[in-house]
Amino acid sequence: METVVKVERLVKRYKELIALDHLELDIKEGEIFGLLGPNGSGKTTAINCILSLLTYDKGEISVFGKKLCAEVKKDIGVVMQNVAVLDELNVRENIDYFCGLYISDKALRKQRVDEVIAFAGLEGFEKFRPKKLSGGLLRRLNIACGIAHKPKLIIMDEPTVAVDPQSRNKILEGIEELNRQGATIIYTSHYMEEVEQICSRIAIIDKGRNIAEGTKQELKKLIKNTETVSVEAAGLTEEQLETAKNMPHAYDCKYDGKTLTLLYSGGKHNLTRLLDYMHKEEIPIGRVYSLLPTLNDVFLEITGKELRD
Amino acid sequence: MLNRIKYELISLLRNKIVVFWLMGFPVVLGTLFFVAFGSLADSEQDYSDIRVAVVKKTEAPEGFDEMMNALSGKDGSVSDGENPLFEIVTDKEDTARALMEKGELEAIIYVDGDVSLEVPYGAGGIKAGIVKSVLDTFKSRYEIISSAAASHPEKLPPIIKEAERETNYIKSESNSANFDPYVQYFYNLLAMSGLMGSMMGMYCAINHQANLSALGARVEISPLSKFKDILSSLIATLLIHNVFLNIASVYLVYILGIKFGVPFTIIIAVNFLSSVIGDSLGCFIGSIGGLKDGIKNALLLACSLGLCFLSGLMFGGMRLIIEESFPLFNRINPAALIVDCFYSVCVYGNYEKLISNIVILLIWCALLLTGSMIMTRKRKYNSI
Amino acid sequence: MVFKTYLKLIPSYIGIAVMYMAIFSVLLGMTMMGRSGLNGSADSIDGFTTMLAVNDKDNTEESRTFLSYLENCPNIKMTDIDFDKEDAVQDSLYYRKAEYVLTINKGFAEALGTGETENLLSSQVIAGSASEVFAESCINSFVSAARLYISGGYDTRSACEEAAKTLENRVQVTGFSAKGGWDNNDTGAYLFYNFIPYIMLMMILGILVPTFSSFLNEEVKSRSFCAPISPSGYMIQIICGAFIISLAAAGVLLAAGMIITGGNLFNKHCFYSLIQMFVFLMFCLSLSAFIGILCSGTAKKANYVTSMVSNVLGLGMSFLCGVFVSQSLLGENILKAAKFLPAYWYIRANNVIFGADGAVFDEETVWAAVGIQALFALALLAAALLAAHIKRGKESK
Repeated sequence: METVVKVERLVKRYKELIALDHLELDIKEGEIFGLLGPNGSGKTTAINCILSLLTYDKGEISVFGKKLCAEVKKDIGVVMQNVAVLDELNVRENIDYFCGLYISDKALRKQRVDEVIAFAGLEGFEKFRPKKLSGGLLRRLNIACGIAHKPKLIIMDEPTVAVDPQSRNKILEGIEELNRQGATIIYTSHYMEEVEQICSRIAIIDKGRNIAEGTKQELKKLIKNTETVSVEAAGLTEEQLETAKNMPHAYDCKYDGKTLTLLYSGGKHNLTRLLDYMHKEEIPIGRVYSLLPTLNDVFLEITGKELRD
Repeated sequence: MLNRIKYELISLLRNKIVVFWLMGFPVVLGTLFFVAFGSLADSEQDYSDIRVAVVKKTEAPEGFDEMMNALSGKDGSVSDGENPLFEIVTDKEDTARALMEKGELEAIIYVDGDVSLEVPYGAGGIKAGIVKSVLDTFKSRYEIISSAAASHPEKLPPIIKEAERETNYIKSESNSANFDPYVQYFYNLLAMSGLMGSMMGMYCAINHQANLSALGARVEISPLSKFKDILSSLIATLLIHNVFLNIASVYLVYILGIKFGVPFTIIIAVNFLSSVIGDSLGCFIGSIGGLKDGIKNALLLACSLGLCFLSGLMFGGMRLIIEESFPLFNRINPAALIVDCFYSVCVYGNYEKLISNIVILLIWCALLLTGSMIMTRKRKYNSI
Repeated sequence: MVFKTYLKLIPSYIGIAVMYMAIFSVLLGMTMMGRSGLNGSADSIDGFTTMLAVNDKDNTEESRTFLSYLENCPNIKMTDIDFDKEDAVQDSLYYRKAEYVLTINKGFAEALGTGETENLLSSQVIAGSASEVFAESCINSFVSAARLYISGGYDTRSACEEAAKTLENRVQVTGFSAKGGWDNNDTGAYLFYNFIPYIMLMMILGILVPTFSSFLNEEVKSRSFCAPISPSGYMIQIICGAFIISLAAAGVLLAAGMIITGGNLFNKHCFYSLIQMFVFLMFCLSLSAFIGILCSGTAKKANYVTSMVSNVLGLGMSFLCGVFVSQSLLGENILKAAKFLPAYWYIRANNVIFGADGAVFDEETVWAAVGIQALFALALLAAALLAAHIKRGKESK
């Protein structure tokens, strides 16, 4: 597969603050590439550098194998983090305006605008001005403005911030649909669920460095955790806790007086084994969970902190 | 590019504030000026029919009655259609004083051996001044003749002959130039409306600079060149600005009937230059990074209002004061140059000055346009 | 709390305030310079001056006698023009630096002696003005008197001297219902209090309208109303903040005035002037509250709207009500219309306080005018609160 965006050893400093620290990215054609990281980790800075809005101190960036120029820009669609539309223009005019920055042929543009209105589910709102739109619709307009010209590469910088769950699902479905139609997508978010749901490959960024990269399976293999089991059980004795801790494959144990949480690394039937033991000890138990590792766990284990603060 | 201009136009026009500001400002203020100055220009011209009372306590000196009759048109010396200088309202003291209290009388002339004058306190004004000056002249001539009659009666005939001669010794060289000082307020108004466009120029810059607004960033990542981008936005702004300025000018010249004393084509041309200067000034200041919008706004307001103050928007004599103390400033102050374009044609009837003013304005346009283009040309930012 | 936060907004508007201060200082300084050395003698008439410029090309004893006669003429003020400079005469006439430009032609003395009066004098003038009639009358009386003496056998030089002497004996003028009088020391104070409404209006509107509208814009307001504070308490705190700001602005203006007028601001009637100024300040405050509430929907572009509104109101009201041109020059109909604007009453009272523009000091007139301005202020404040109430009503629907 061809490389669409390649970022090598990218360094960006804001005075003392190092925003990007030798960032490496390699995004292949046809991917939905997720950039995951907490707020302030450098996702947007990286995007702005790729788009050549920002100067950078060191490193190489190429898009479609070239340095960014007008010709390359034609094939890029961008959905910015902040809604960037003209307040005085209505929905259709806004889309036409932004599409017009890329396509000068009128007939083709009209077709594209019609398509994207249908795609974004903005039918019936064509004559509305942005101020009259709900938050979700406004986001969808923002996306429509970015993708109307059918770009080969779409960069979306947190397009679902402050959007209700319904609109969010619609947006995510839309992104997958765009990908099916052949677009490569770079998607930044600090919502790991979104990234897990749609991205084919993910880079986790923290403090301007990508600390892990790969498919979600690959990422999860990076850490020793394979399963987390939680059992509601009040009043466990020291002895019982000790036994639990020494269960096969368990490598960590937490107890807050109510819920026992065991972290496992590999092995099968971990939950059954624990429940069997508790049954034998006649410990009354409440709810029981077994969770597979999430990207949050990946992040937690690699950086030692929660993704969401 | 046409598509961009089209949408810039639409979005500007839908912005009601912009529309009102650009067109309403000169129209509303022009109307107020018109109302305020309308009668002012007249009052300066209105000096005939000065209402006086002549109260005689004794017999009037010889020649006094004849003079008063001549000046009030009672001897038929004033031809039809002309107004006599004086209107003698009454000869009774009580009536005269009552009229003066009501402000309906300019002066009371007392003849009591000598001639004396009573005018409303503090508000005699120029009409009373004219009455007094006429009486002064009469008094001096009367004294000269009567003293000559007393001391050298033999010299009297040539003196009387001289006294009967026409008494205007001044040859007027006045030209037909328009000296209505209030028209310059309208010149200034147009200059101000031109420079106030800088507010629009500022939004032009802010909306197209990635480091100033999200919209700017969004536009900047498109393949359109930055030059075309800013240019199309400026063109749209200029188009609208010019249309509005010219509508306002039509209103001032043809509806209010302000005598600009300048062909309308020149007004259009000057409007164009002032809009270019205003808009590109706004664009220039607007594109300075690191300044808050509020500060840019204040800066632009200070520029447009300050320059117009110095060219006489609030106090008409300002331009002359600067012309006398620091003439160079009038040659570079765009507001003064705009005013001077109209003024030189209207007052000097001279197109040479107009052309030199226009040349300097063009230099300003070129400087500011290049300046704003250079300021906005940058595509990469150290921070957003 | 609201009050404190309100005060914190102010520094962003200091720039605007500084600009108006500068304009005010220049305006006041320039007009003071222009006014100095006017008025005075007993045989003159108050209320007007004709600016005369003379180009003496003859430069003989006779022409100089003539010049000194003109200089001594009551109500005539000589002004200098650089006659070598092209357009200087036109400019001076246009801007009324000179209302009458007289040229004493070469050969004036000689022609006067021979009675050849064709080329004695020539003039450039604003045609058809009252100053033209007045100036010509003064000029002609001298020439005519000199001619009479010459006909009576005097030589030209002594004829001119005699003429000047005779003309010094002028008609006596008494002022009708004369009380008090214009004190030249008051010029600075008079001009200060005369221009202050324009500057206060511009400055207060420029500072307060954007702050009002940002505090009263719908989002901020509804958020604040969710906090445990009553809507009226909220308004009162904002208005208190605005009041403090206004007082501070007025204080700064007074300080600037003290410097420019050389400390002549507080004289016999300054009590009335200061009260007037305060009441007009309250009017400006109410007006900005009113406009701020009306514009609160457009908070983002409030700066834009403010500069428009304050310019139209400030300049328009000042020209209509006689701030820049004296009320006695304005037409009757305009003054009738201007009565519906508080600036008219301010200027009227100011004229009465200083005995300027034909007015005579009269305490009652001043209080009446102050009262009317206070009513304007109260009415606008009420309108502002009503507008706020109506807007709130709309939001809750």
